[in-house]
Amino acid sequence: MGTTVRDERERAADAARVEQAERESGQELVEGEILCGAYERLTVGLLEKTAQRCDRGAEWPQRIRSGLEGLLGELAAEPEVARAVMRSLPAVGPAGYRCYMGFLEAFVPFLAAGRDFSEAQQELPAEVEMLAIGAAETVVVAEIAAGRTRQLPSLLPAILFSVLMPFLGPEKAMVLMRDASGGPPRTGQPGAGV
Amino acid sequence: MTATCAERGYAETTVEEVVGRAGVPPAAFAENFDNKEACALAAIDLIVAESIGVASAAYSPDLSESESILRGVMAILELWAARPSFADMACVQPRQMPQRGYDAYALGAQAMALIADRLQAYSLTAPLPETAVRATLGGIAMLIRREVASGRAERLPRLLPDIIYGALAPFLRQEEVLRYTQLARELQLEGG
Repeated sequence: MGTTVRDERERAADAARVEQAERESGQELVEGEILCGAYERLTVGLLEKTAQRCDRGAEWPQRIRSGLEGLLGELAAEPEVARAVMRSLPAVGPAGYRCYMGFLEAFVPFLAAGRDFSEAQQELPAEVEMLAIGAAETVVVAEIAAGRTRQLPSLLPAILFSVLMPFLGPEKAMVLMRDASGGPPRTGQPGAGV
Repeated sequence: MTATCAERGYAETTVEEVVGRAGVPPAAFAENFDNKEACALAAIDLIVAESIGVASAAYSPDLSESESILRGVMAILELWAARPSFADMACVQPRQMPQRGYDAYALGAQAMALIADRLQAYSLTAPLPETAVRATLGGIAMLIRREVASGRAERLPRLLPDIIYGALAPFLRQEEVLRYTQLARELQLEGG
Protein backbone atom coordinates (compact mmCIF):
# COMPACT_ATOMS: atom_id res chain seq x y z
CA MET A 1 0.00 0.00 0.00
CA GLY A 2 1.48 3.34 -1.02
CA THR A 3 1.39 6.53 0.98
CA THR A 4 -0.67 9.29 -0.59
CA VAL A 5 -0.16 13.04 -0.27
CA ARG A 6 -3.34 13.10 1.81
CA ASP A 7 -1.94 10.43 4.16
CA GLU A 8 1.20 12.48 4.60
CA ARG A 9 -0.78 15.66 5.31
CA GLU A 10 -2.91 13.87 7.88
CA ARG A 11 0.15 12.42 9.59
CA ALA A 12 1.79 15.84 9.66
CA ALA A 13 -1.37 17.32 11.16
CA ASP A 14 -1.50 14.58 13.82
CA ALA A 15 2.17 15.13 14.67
CA ALA A 16 1.60 18.90 14.91
CA ARG A 17 -1.40 18.32 17.20
CA VAL A 18 0.66 16.21 19.59
CA GLU A 19 3.52 18.73 19.62
CA GLN A 20 1.09 21.60 20.19
CA ALA A 21 -0.27 19.79 23.23
CA GLU A 22 3.28 19.47 24.58
CA ARG A 23 3.91 23.23 24.10
CA GLU A 24 0.62 24.21 25.67
CA SER A 25 0.78 21.69 28.50
CA GLY A 26 -2.44 20.33 27.06
CA GLN A 27 -3.53 17.88 29.72
CA GLU A 28 -7.16 18.44 28.87
CA LEU A 29 -6.44 17.72 25.22
CA VAL A 30 -4.81 14.42 26.15
CA GLU A 31 -7.63 13.41 28.37
CA GLY A 32 -9.98 14.13 25.52
CA GLU A 33 -10.05 11.59 22.76
CA ILE A 34 -8.64 13.98 20.19
CA LEU A 35 -5.00 13.70 21.08
CA CYS A 36 -4.95 10.00 21.90
CA GLY A 37 -6.77 9.41 18.62
CA ALA A 38 -4.10 11.35 16.75
CA TYR A 39 -1.45 9.37 18.60
CA GLU A 40 -3.06 6.08 17.72
CA ARG A 41 -3.20 7.02 14.04
CA LEU A 42 0.50 7.88 14.14
CA THR A 43 1.55 4.69 15.89
CA VAL A 44 -0.71 2.13 14.23
CA GLY A 45 1.20 2.45 10.97
CA LEU A 46 4.52 2.04 12.73
CA LEU A 47 3.30 -1.10 14.47
CA GLU A 48 1.83 -2.59 11.29
CA LYS A 49 5.02 -2.00 9.34
CA THR A 50 7.12 -3.43 12.16
CA ALA A 51 4.89 -6.51 12.25
CA GLN A 52 5.27 -6.98 8.49
CA ARG A 53 9.03 -6.69 8.76
CA CYS A 54 9.11 -9.12 11.68
CA ASP A 55 7.63 -11.76 9.38
CA ARG A 56 10.83 -11.69 7.35
CA GLY A 57 13.67 -13.94 8.40
CA ALA A 58 13.96 -17.61 9.21
CA GLU A 59 14.82 -17.27 12.86
CA TRP A 60 13.83 -14.93 15.66
CA PRO A 61 17.02 -12.80 15.74
CA GLN A 62 16.72 -12.12 12.00
CA ARG A 63 13.04 -11.23 12.38
CA ILE A 64 13.84 -8.81 15.19
CA ARG A 65 16.64 -7.29 13.15
CA SER A 66 14.32 -6.81 10.20
CA GLY A 67 11.58 -5.26 12.34
CA LEU A 68 13.98 -2.95 14.13
CA GLU A 69 15.59 -1.90 10.87
CA GLY A 70 12.18 -1.01 9.48
CA LEU A 71 11.12 0.88 12.60
CA LEU A 72 14.31 2.96 12.75
CA GLY A 73 13.95 3.71 9.05
CA GLU A 74 10.35 4.86 9.50
CA LEU A 75 11.27 7.15 12.40
CA ALA A 76 14.27 8.58 10.55
CA ALA A 77 12.18 9.29 7.47
CA GLU A 78 9.72 11.47 9.41
CA PRO A 79 11.55 13.28 12.23
CA GLU A 80 8.52 15.37 13.18
CA VAL A 81 6.39 12.23 13.57
CA ALA A 82 9.22 10.53 15.49
CA ARG A 83 9.39 13.46 17.89
CA ALA A 84 5.62 13.53 18.37
CA VAL A 85 5.46 9.79 19.05
CA MET A 86 8.54 9.35 21.23
CA ARG A 87 9.05 12.68 22.92
CA SER A 88 6.05 15.02 22.77
CA LEU A 89 3.14 12.87 23.96
CA PRO A 90 4.91 11.39 26.98
CA ALA A 91 5.93 14.93 27.93
CA VAL A 92 2.32 16.15 28.13
CA GLY A 93 1.29 14.50 31.42
CA PRO A 94 0.19 11.26 33.08
CA ALA A 95 -2.55 10.46 30.55
CA GLY A 96 -0.19 11.06 27.64
CA TYR A 97 2.40 8.90 29.32
CA ARG A 98 -0.07 6.04 29.66
CA CYS A 99 -0.88 6.25 25.92
CA TYR A 100 2.85 6.11 25.25
CA MET A 101 3.34 3.07 27.48
CA GLY A 102 0.53 1.35 25.63
CA PHE A 103 2.38 1.95 22.37
CA LEU A 104 5.62 0.53 23.78
CA GLU A 105 3.90 -2.52 25.28
CA ALA A 106 2.54 -3.34 21.83
CA PHE A 107 6.06 -4.46 20.91
CA VAL A 108 6.08 -7.20 23.58
CA PRO A 109 4.62 -9.94 21.33
CA PHE A 110 7.42 -9.47 18.77
CA LEU A 111 9.99 -10.09 21.48
CA ALA A 112 8.22 -12.82 23.43
CA ALA A 113 9.25 -15.45 20.87
CA GLY A 114 12.82 -14.80 21.96
CA ARG A 115 12.13 -16.85 25.08
CA ASP A 116 11.89 -20.01 22.99
CA PHE A 117 15.11 -19.09 21.22
CA SER A 118 17.01 -18.48 24.44
CA GLU A 119 18.99 -21.22 26.19
CA ALA A 120 17.77 -19.80 29.49
CA GLN A 121 14.08 -20.09 28.53
CA GLN A 122 12.09 -20.57 31.76
CA GLU A 123 14.80 -18.98 33.86
CA LEU A 124 14.51 -15.63 32.09
CA PRO A 125 12.93 -12.97 34.29
CA ALA A 126 9.27 -12.11 33.84
CA GLU A 127 9.96 -8.66 32.41
CA VAL A 128 12.73 -9.49 29.96
CA GLU A 129 10.71 -8.17 27.00
CA MET A 130 10.25 -4.78 28.67
CA LEU A 131 13.96 -4.65 29.54
CA ALA A 132 14.69 -5.00 25.83
CA ILE A 133 12.05 -2.45 24.82
CA GLY A 134 13.28 0.04 27.41
CA ALA A 135 16.85 -0.37 26.20
CA ALA A 136 15.93 0.43 22.61
CA GLU A 137 13.52 3.21 23.58
CA THR A 138 16.08 5.04 25.70
CA VAL A 139 18.63 5.15 22.92
CA VAL A 140 16.06 6.23 20.34
CA VAL A 141 14.63 9.00 22.57
CA ALA A 142 18.12 10.32 23.32
CA GLU A 143 18.91 10.53 19.61
CA ILE A 144 15.64 12.31 18.90
CA ALA A 145 16.23 14.74 21.78
CA ALA A 146 19.69 15.46 20.39
CA GLY A 147 18.27 16.24 16.94
CA ARG A 148 19.84 13.17 15.32
CA THR A 149 16.63 11.43 14.26
CA ARG A 150 17.77 10.98 10.67
CA GLN A 151 20.86 9.11 11.86
CA LEU A 152 18.83 6.49 13.76
CA PRO A 153 19.40 3.71 11.16
CA SER A 154 23.15 3.94 11.80
CA LEU A 155 22.46 2.74 15.36
CA LEU A 156 20.81 -0.49 14.21
CA PRO A 157 23.74 -2.75 15.23
CA ALA A 158 24.11 -1.20 18.70
CA ILE A 159 20.37 -1.19 19.42
CA LEU A 160 20.05 -4.73 18.07
CA PHE A 161 22.72 -5.81 20.56
CA SER A 162 20.77 -4.32 23.47
CA VAL A 163 17.47 -5.87 22.32
CA LEU A 164 18.80 -9.40 21.68
CA MET A 165 21.27 -9.51 24.57
CA PRO A 166 18.75 -9.99 27.43
CA PHE A 167 17.53 -13.14 25.67
CA LEU A 168 20.73 -14.54 24.20
CA GLY A 169 23.51 -13.25 26.43
CA PRO A 170 26.22 -10.79 25.40
CA GLU A 171 28.41 -13.14 23.40
CA LYS A 172 25.73 -14.32 20.96
CA ALA A 173 24.24 -10.83 20.75
CA MET A 174 27.64 -9.42 19.84
CA VAL A 175 28.02 -11.89 16.98
CA LEU A 176 24.59 -10.97 15.63
CA MET A 177 25.37 -7.28 16.04
CA ARG A 178 28.51 -7.71 13.94
CA ASP A 179 26.45 -9.45 11.27
CA ALA A 180 24.14 -6.44 11.22
CA SER A 181 26.92 -3.88 11.06
CA GLY A 182 28.95 -5.58 8.39
CA GLY A 183 32.06 -4.42 10.20
CA PRO A 184 33.47 -3.49 13.59
CA PRO A 185 30.81 -1.82 15.76
CA ARG A 186 31.06 1.71 17.14
CA THR A 187 32.39 1.22 20.60
CA GLY A 188 33.22 3.65 23.35
CA GLN A 189 35.02 4.21 26.56
CA PRO A 190 33.11 3.23 29.68
CA GLY A 191 30.21 5.59 30.18
CA ALA A 192 30.32 6.96 26.65
CA GLY A 193 26.93 7.53 25.13
CA VAL A 194 25.20 7.90 28.44
CA MET B 1 6.29 19.19 44.48
CA THR B 2 6.66 15.44 44.01
CA ALA B 3 3.08 14.69 45.09
CA THR B 4 1.54 17.34 42.83
CA CYS B 5 3.66 16.27 39.84
CA ALA B 6 2.68 12.64 40.40
CA GLU B 7 -1.01 13.55 40.30
CA ARG B 8 -1.08 16.14 37.55
CA GLY B 9 2.21 15.85 35.71
CA TYR B 10 5.02 18.37 35.71
CA ALA B 11 3.51 20.41 32.92
CA GLU B 12 0.21 21.01 34.71
CA THR B 13 1.74 21.62 38.14
CA THR B 14 1.82 25.25 39.23
CA VAL B 15 3.91 26.99 41.87
CA GLU B 16 0.66 28.05 43.58
CA GLU B 17 -0.38 24.40 44.00
CA VAL B 18 3.03 23.38 45.29
CA VAL B 19 3.09 26.20 47.80
CA GLY B 20 -0.49 25.56 48.92
CA ARG B 21 0.09 21.85 49.37
CA ALA B 22 3.34 22.35 51.26
CA GLY B 23 1.70 24.95 53.49
CA VAL B 24 4.45 27.49 53.00
CA PRO B 25 4.09 31.16 52.03
CA PRO B 26 4.89 32.05 48.40
CA ALA B 27 7.73 34.25 49.62
CA ALA B 28 9.47 31.21 51.10
CA PHE B 29 9.29 29.47 47.73
CA ALA B 30 10.70 32.53 45.98
CA GLU B 31 13.58 32.72 48.45
CA ASN B 32 14.65 29.19 47.60
CA PHE B 33 13.76 28.67 43.95
CA ASP B 34 13.74 30.82 40.85
CA ASN B 35 10.85 28.89 39.34
CA LYS B 36 9.00 25.58 39.14
CA GLU B 37 11.79 23.91 37.19
CA ALA B 38 14.41 24.79 39.81
CA CYS B 39 12.17 23.33 42.49
CA ALA B 40 11.67 20.13 40.48
CA LEU B 41 15.40 19.71 39.88
CA ALA B 42 16.07 20.24 43.59
CA ALA B 43 13.45 17.59 44.38
CA ILE B 44 15.21 15.13 42.07
CA ASP B 45 18.54 15.86 43.77
CA LEU B 46 16.94 15.20 47.15
CA ILE B 47 15.45 11.91 45.98
CA VAL B 48 18.79 10.77 44.56
CA ALA B 49 20.49 11.65 47.86
CA GLU B 50 17.88 9.78 49.92
CA SER B 51 18.08 6.78 47.61
CA ILE B 52 21.86 6.64 47.90
CA GLY B 53 21.41 6.96 51.67
CA VAL B 54 19.15 3.92 52.02
CA ALA B 55 21.34 1.89 49.66
CA SER B 56 24.43 2.77 51.69
CA ALA B 57 22.67 1.82 54.90
CA ALA B 58 22.00 -1.62 53.43
CA TYR B 59 25.73 -2.20 52.97
CA SER B 60 27.43 -4.39 55.54
CA PRO B 61 31.06 -5.53 55.74
CA ASP B 62 29.69 -8.89 56.92
CA LEU B 63 28.05 -9.46 53.55
CA SER B 64 29.64 -10.21 50.20
CA GLU B 65 29.82 -7.26 47.78
CA SER B 66 27.17 -8.81 45.56
CA GLU B 67 24.77 -9.35 48.46
CA SER B 68 25.33 -5.78 49.67
CA ILE B 69 24.50 -4.50 46.19
CA LEU B 70 21.34 -6.65 46.03
CA ARG B 71 20.23 -5.36 49.42
CA GLY B 72 21.04 -1.78 48.37
CA VAL B 73 18.90 -2.02 45.24
CA MET B 74 16.12 -3.63 47.28
CA ALA B 75 16.31 -0.76 49.79
CA ILE B 76 15.85 1.80 46.99
CA LEU B 77 12.87 -0.12 45.58
CA GLU B 78 11.30 -0.32 49.04
CA LEU B 79 11.82 3.41 49.55
CA TRP B 80 10.20 4.19 46.21
CA ALA B 81 7.35 1.76 46.90
CA ALA B 82 6.67 3.57 50.17
CA ARG B 83 7.02 6.98 48.47
CA PRO B 84 5.62 6.49 44.94
CA SER B 85 5.99 10.18 44.17
CA PHE B 86 9.77 9.74 44.58
CA ALA B 87 9.85 7.07 41.89
CA ASP B 88 7.61 9.19 39.68
CA MET B 89 9.77 12.28 40.11
CA ALA B 90 13.01 10.39 39.50
CA CYS B 91 11.94 8.22 36.58
CA VAL B 92 8.80 9.61 34.91
CA GLN B 93 8.68 13.39 35.32
CA PRO B 94 12.09 14.22 33.77
CA ARG B 95 10.67 12.98 30.46
CA GLN B 96 7.85 15.50 30.93
CA MET B 97 10.12 18.41 31.74
CA PRO B 98 11.76 20.86 29.34
CA GLN B 99 15.21 20.15 27.95
CA ARG B 100 17.01 21.14 31.17
CA GLY B 101 15.02 18.60 33.12
CA TYR B 102 15.76 15.98 30.51
CA ASP B 103 19.45 16.88 30.73
CA ALA B 104 19.29 16.52 34.52
CA TYR B 105 17.86 13.07 33.98
CA ALA B 106 20.73 12.31 31.64
CA LEU B 107 23.16 13.54 34.31
CA GLY B 108 21.49 11.24 36.82
CA ALA B 109 21.90 8.41 34.36
CA GLN B 110 25.56 9.34 34.03
CA ALA B 111 25.97 8.96 37.77
CA MET B 112 24.34 5.54 37.58
CA ALA B 113 26.61 4.72 34.67
CA LEU B 114 29.64 5.05 36.92
CA ILE B 115 28.44 1.89 38.62
CA ALA B 116 27.91 0.25 35.27
CA ASP B 117 31.41 1.29 34.24
CA ARG B 118 32.79 -0.82 37.06
CA LEU B 119 30.94 -3.77 35.60
CA GLN B 120 32.46 -3.09 32.19
CA ALA B 121 35.72 -4.36 33.61
CA TYR B 122 34.10 -7.80 33.83
CA SER B 123 32.59 -7.62 30.37
CA LEU B 124 32.99 -10.73 28.26
CA THR B 125 32.65 -8.80 25.05
CA ALA B 126 34.42 -5.54 25.90
CA PRO B 127 34.33 -3.04 24.43
CA LEU B 128 30.55 -2.95 24.31
CA PRO B 129 28.66 -0.74 21.86
CA GLU B 130 28.84 2.87 23.00
CA THR B 131 25.10 2.95 23.70
CA ALA B 132 25.11 -0.25 25.80
CA VAL B 133 25.31 1.37 29.22
CA ARG B 134 22.60 3.91 28.41
CA ALA B 135 20.44 1.11 27.03
CA THR B 136 20.97 -1.01 30.14
CA LEU B 137 19.85 1.81 32.43
CA GLY B 138 16.95 2.53 30.09
CA GLY B 139 15.69 -1.03 30.33
CA ILE B 140 15.72 -0.88 34.11
CA ALA B 141 14.10 2.56 34.19
CA MET B 142 11.39 1.27 31.85
CA LEU B 143 10.32 -1.38 34.37
CA ILE B 144 10.09 1.22 37.12
CA ARG B 145 8.33 3.81 34.93
CA ARG B 146 5.69 1.31 33.83
CA GLU B 147 4.74 0.36 37.38
CA VAL B 148 4.71 3.97 38.55
CA ALA B 149 2.75 5.27 35.56
CA SER B 150 0.18 2.53 36.13
CA GLY B 151 -0.22 3.41 39.80
CA ARG B 152 1.44 0.18 40.95
CA ALA B 153 4.48 1.59 42.76
CA GLU B 154 3.88 -0.76 45.71
CA ARG B 155 4.97 -3.57 43.40
CA LEU B 156 8.43 -2.09 42.78
CA PRO B 157 10.27 -4.46 45.20
CA ARG B 158 8.96 -7.38 43.13
CA LEU B 159 11.10 -6.10 40.27
CA LEU B 160 14.37 -6.84 42.07
CA PRO B 161 15.21 -10.04 40.11
CA ASP B 162 14.36 -8.40 36.80
CA ILE B 163 16.41 -5.32 37.64
CA ILE B 164 19.42 -7.36 38.72
CA TYR B 165 19.15 -9.44 35.56
CA GLY B 166 18.92 -6.30 33.40
CA ALA B 167 21.83 -4.61 35.14
CA LEU B 168 24.23 -7.54 34.84
CA ALA B 169 23.17 -9.09 31.53
CA PRO B 170 25.49 -7.09 29.23
CA PHE B 171 28.56 -7.77 31.30
CA LEU B 172 28.55 -11.37 32.54
CA ARG B 173 27.88 -14.83 31.16
CA GLN B 174 24.17 -15.54 31.07
CA GLU B 175 24.43 -18.46 33.51
CA GLU B 176 26.20 -16.20 36.00
CA VAL B 177 23.57 -13.49 35.56
CA LEU B 178 20.86 -16.08 36.19
CA ARG B 179 22.65 -17.11 39.38
CA TYR B 180 22.53 -13.53 40.69
CA THR B 181 18.91 -13.27 39.58
CA GLN B 182 18.13 -16.35 41.66
CA LEU B 183 19.90 -14.78 44.65
CA ALA B 184 17.66 -11.75 44.18
CA ARG B 185 14.58 -13.99 44.18
CA GLU B 186 15.77 -15.59 47.43
CA LEU B 187 16.35 -12.19 49.01
CA GLN B 188 12.89 -11.19 47.93
CA LEU B 189 11.36 -14.26 49.59
CA GLU B 190 13.40 -13.64 52.69
CA GLY B 191 11.98 -10.12 52.88
CA GLY B 192 8.46 -11.45 52.49
